Amino acid sequence: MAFLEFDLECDLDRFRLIAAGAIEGGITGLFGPSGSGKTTLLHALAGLRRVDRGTITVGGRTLFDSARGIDLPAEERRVGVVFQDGRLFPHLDVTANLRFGVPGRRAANDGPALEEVVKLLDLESLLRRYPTGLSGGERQRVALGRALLAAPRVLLLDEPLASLDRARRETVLPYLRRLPERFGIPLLYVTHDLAELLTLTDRMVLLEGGSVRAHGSYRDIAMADAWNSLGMTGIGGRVNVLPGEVIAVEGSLCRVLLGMSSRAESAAPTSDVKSDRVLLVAVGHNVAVGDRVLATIGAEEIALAVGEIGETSIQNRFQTTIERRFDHDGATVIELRISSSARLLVEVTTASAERLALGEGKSVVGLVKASAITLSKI
Amino acid sequence: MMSLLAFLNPSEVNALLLSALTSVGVALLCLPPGIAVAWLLARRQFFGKTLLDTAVHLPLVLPPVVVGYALLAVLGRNGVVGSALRTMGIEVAFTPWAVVIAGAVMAFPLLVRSARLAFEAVDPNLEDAARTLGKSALATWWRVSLPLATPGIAAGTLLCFARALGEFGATITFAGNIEGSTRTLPLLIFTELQSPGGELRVGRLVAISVVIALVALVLSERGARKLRGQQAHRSRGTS
Repeated sequence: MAFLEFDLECDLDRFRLIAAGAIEGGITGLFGPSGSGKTTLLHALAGLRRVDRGTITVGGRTLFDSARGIDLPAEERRVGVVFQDGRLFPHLDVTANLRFGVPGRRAANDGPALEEVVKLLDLESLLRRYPTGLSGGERQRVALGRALLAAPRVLLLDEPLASLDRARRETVLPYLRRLPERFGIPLLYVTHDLAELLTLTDRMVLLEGGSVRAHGSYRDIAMADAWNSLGMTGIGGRVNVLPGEVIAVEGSLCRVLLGMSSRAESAAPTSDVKSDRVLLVAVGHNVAVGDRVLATIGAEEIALAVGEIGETSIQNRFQTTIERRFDHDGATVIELRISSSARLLVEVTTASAERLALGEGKSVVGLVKASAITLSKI
Repeated sequence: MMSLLAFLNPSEVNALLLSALTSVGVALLCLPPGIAVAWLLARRQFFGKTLLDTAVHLPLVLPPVVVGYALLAVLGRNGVVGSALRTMGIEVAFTPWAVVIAGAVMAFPLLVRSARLAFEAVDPNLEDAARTLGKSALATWWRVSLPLATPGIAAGTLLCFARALGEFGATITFAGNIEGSTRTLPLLIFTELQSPGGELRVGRLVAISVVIALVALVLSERGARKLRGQQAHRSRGTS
């Protein structure tokens, strides 16, 4: 049974939010363009805005039910929220901010211990400081810790990294990844940044124009028709996120062995440039051999070739076969199988797809420039 | 302080002490209802809000003498409330209590204005955040709204104190000008000006008034800097 279930309606100025969904353990993305109703849905779940009709339950406990006249106030819902701007209390230092929501002595506190959260989020050095003296990334880590310490049953994150630049995001994401496992709290992660979301999870709810368009794993959603309307809003570019491990660093390039590999596997020959499972990546920031990373490649950054090709400047080649093909007005999405577990989405124009006669089972070579791949450490 | 008092004549000492005590009394009296009214006006929608807003601010625009007269009409010996109080053996008009009441009515709007601005400046998003952290509306007010509004409330309280210290028109109308009982510093200055050869004493009293005003100003500046300075201090070390 799903942990968080909702089926609700809210009247907004521009449209009506009609959303139903179910969230299980782990991390689930709530993805959609700006103005699609993501934040509204999140506020509705948290009890921060009026809901006109529907039901919300968390772990079997009813938080809202218009038919039965149940509408628990925000403070009784045990739905934690991490806001985009952190919303730390400026008059309290970090320690007092963290302690703010810790349930009082009379309430049963089954939440994590302060020391544990401080350790997990590396907050030790910040405890005596005040919010205005913190960097954006530090502030969001404190906000995350504060929400966790209030012992929520489910944690909603409203674009928590949107105000941070790429490098700062990298300082927060690893902490987010550890949360569900460590504390057993399901996370609903609101974002309009697909690449960022895919480094956390591939399960998502696609929201657009106030309604849930699709629900499930990214692999399936990205193929669905619902995805195409997103292209119009500029955020629908499909993305591949592949886990791997850095096995060599050579100047400004590094080699990443793809797959949820163990150390034993990485003992495979590293000099084979053409190996389908090794990516050559131009790195902007420091990585070291042994780092677990996520490699992000835009689906449009990948070129496909058929037949014999000579030497090219493109460093990454995947000799593989086409697993699936989908056509959506003018664009074609090809799914390549690059290992037993990894798939690669490639976007080409339908005209090119026709010219190359790309179809299921066809043998092709995927080409990716080393500079078209970005890495983030796990 | 004692040497300063020894330097003054008894009527000046009386006026100084009376002014200080009644002004502190006004500030303390105005603070709780001032905070409540300021918060209501800043954050709540209710029937009669405009009326409350107008009533609170009326003394700011009315001539003080008119306010004093209105107080007399309500709380005087033959006033609506005053006559009822008199049957219980309580008389307010022309006592030190009248000084406090006149000062409170005149100074109250200044406290409310300042505190209201302070409450309005509190980010409602922070209050929302507190609710999601399990705090009730009351706990949120106590632990977030009130502390964040405190610098503004403190500034308003000081304004209120200063306004009470300088109150003249409403006081002389409602409390009279009774030596040792209701003759505050401003009333003493007025009285001395009426008597021949009082200019020297007036000069001294004016000097005392200026000193009190300056001390209050410095204290408030220091208080504000302490409150705000914590944040300035906090913002140091931003990466």
